[in-house]
Amino acid sequence: MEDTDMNDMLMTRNSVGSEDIKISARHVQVFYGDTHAIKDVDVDINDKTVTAFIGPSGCGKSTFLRCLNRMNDTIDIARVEGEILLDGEDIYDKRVDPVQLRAKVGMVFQKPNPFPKSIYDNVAYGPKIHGLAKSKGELDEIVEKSLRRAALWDEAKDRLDQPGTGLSGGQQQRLCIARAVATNPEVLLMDEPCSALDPIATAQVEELIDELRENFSVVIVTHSMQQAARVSQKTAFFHLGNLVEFDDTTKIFSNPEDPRTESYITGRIG
Amino acid sequence: MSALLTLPTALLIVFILAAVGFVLGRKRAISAAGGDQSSLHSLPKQHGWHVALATAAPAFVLIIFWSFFSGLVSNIYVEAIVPDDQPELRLPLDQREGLSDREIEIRIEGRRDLFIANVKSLAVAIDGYIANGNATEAEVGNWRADLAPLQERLRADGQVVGASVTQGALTHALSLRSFNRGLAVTGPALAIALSVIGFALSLALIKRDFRARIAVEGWARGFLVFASTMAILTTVAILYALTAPSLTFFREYGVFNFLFGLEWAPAGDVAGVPEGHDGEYESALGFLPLIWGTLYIALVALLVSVPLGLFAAIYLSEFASKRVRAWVKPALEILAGVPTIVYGIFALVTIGPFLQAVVGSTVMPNTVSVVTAGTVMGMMLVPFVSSLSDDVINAVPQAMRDGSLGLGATPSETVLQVILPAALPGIVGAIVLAASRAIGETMIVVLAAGALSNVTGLEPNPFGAVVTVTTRIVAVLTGEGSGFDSIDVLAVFALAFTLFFITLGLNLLAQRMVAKYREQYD
Repeated sequence: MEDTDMNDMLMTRNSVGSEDIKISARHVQVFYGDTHAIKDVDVDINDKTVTAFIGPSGCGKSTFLRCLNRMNDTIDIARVEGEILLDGEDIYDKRVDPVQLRAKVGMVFQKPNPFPKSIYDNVAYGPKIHGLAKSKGELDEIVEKSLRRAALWDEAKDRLDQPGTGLSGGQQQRLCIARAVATNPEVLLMDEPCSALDPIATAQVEELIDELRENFSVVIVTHSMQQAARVSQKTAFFHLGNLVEFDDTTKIFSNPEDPRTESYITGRIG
Repeated sequence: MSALLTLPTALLIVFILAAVGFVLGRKRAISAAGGDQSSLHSLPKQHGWHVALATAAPAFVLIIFWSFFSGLVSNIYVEAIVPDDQPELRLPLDQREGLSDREIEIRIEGRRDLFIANVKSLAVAIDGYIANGNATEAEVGNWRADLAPLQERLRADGQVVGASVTQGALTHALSLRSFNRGLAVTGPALAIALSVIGFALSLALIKRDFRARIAVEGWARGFLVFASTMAILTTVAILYALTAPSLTFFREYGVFNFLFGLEWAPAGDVAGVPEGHDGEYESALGFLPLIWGTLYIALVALLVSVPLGLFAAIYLSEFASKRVRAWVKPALEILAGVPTIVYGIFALVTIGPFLQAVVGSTVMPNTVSVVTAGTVMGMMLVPFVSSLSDDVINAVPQAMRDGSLGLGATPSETVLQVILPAALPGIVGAIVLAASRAIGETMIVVLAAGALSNVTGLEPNPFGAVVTVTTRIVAVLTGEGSGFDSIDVLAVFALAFTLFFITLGLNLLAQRMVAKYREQYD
């Protein structure tokens, strides 16, 4: 029964996707000290598409995601090799400022992490830092637009001055998404954004991800295969630091080529 | 026999009995099991522990309380045996002239305190005299004050004897001694009796189904509760010791005169005997100049230690690599282990002359000053502030940093806009704790702040010498000739009392702030 549901979804959501390549990763290797965490991964991430990274715990999917906006730089012992091109430019080039890069490649984390500030200040944080608003009015506009994009405006518009930490878990995560889209990024990375949420909040965030696809290229790491099937057009399966298979989501879930992928999606490994 | 019955010997006996109890308890449990150990509710070892604890613990607690409170009991005793019509307490007529009833009353009270102090010191002197082998207990019992020059005999033996040994004082001293002897023997005897009862009862309790394991758990909990109460009791005891003399001082000198007096000039007046005109003390004991100096120095110390300590903490927790952190953090903590007297010497011989050379001796007539003491105290507090701030900064969840960095903020923007605001209540708590240490700090200010014995007004010049609450306490108590019955010494108690409440208030404030901060992330 679940199969038919999933197939319905595959038909509706997963059919469309842009063919413009946004990010192109070649021969990416990541080492944590002596641990070889990512082994020679090649991936192309399309613009205005949701790409899902799936795989068992410890397979390297989050590590690889964090390479895409150089968040691994903040870990002393992490070392990244290979090249990752964003719009044809290597983001690991010495001339690239990781701080600017992260404004273009936003990130939403596993656990909602609003700052202990007001809802308004949470969303305005990025735009203020990057000087995106010339006046208070413009900033107000950005905040409203971002909250609307994150489907939080109706719930939050009357309490913008209250602390973001006072929201419910699902609202907090949408606030974090609003915060990330406020800097007007081109790519949005999401590291298991629903793992701390209940099913209803998860459904809301998933719907949101589907809407975000109109404006952004979204990369989502998820534990849940159903979620990957529901929200993504492309799926990459990671296993033990290797990219095992990368293809259209419909293909991966209906007719995987690699036996390891098949074992994983049918629940035999993981 | 009674000479052997002291608290240390009682303690020894109790512990031996407990050790024997452990062995016996174990054996008895094994024989109760009758070869089948699994039929016992608790292991033989636990039965042994139960006997040992039941033998030692109550006696141990009794010994501790006895050694604390026997002094108190003997004080109450001596207060009670000196009657109000004791001839020595009468105020001679020529000293009553021109005094109001109230003043006479205060003086008689002062004479009574003095007399009781004499009785106590005489009792101690006689103890020492006997201990040196100059007389036996029986001989001493027959002593009379006019018999031979008693005072000279005691002094010749090196004993400290008060002003005059009268027959009344001697009588009371002798009865105080016999009361103390009784007290000294009763305590250990009670302790031993208690431990024997515990020993016998707990051994008798051993049966197959006796739950020794749970009983031992109860003893352990009791012991932990006892340990934590002792710490609280110490605070209460300190407060108790300070309260009575402080209240006497406030009553005699006036709370208002003390708290808002602008002059500190102890003259060695005797308590209860104001010598100036209109029945006023010649000692001027105003609190303001002292607390001014204290707070002024604390302010300078905070101006030095808070930025340095906070920036050090930010560097260590946010920017330093693991290797740097592994070196710098212990180095900072070494700074915290330097004794304050060493900082004081450093201030006196290095910082003071250096500052004087920089600002010139017109502004800074002495090498000791507010800035000298404040700077060095600030250095002392740097590791204190940095290690506390480091803790609160590290307690800010990594998710906050990731969130901010992930939005394209630089590390400094992250620190300034996310981490510091989140850690602020904790950091303020750290600063308040540092302030309370600065206020209570003694050695540095004794050496580097100035040692004027008389001050008037509040010194505004940061390069001028000041006095602080703590330096005056040291100065009055370590000499300058005022005896322990002087109003100046009572004033010192009042200073300590006030200081206690200022630092207590600051610490409570700090705790509340830290607690408030904790709530945010739990």
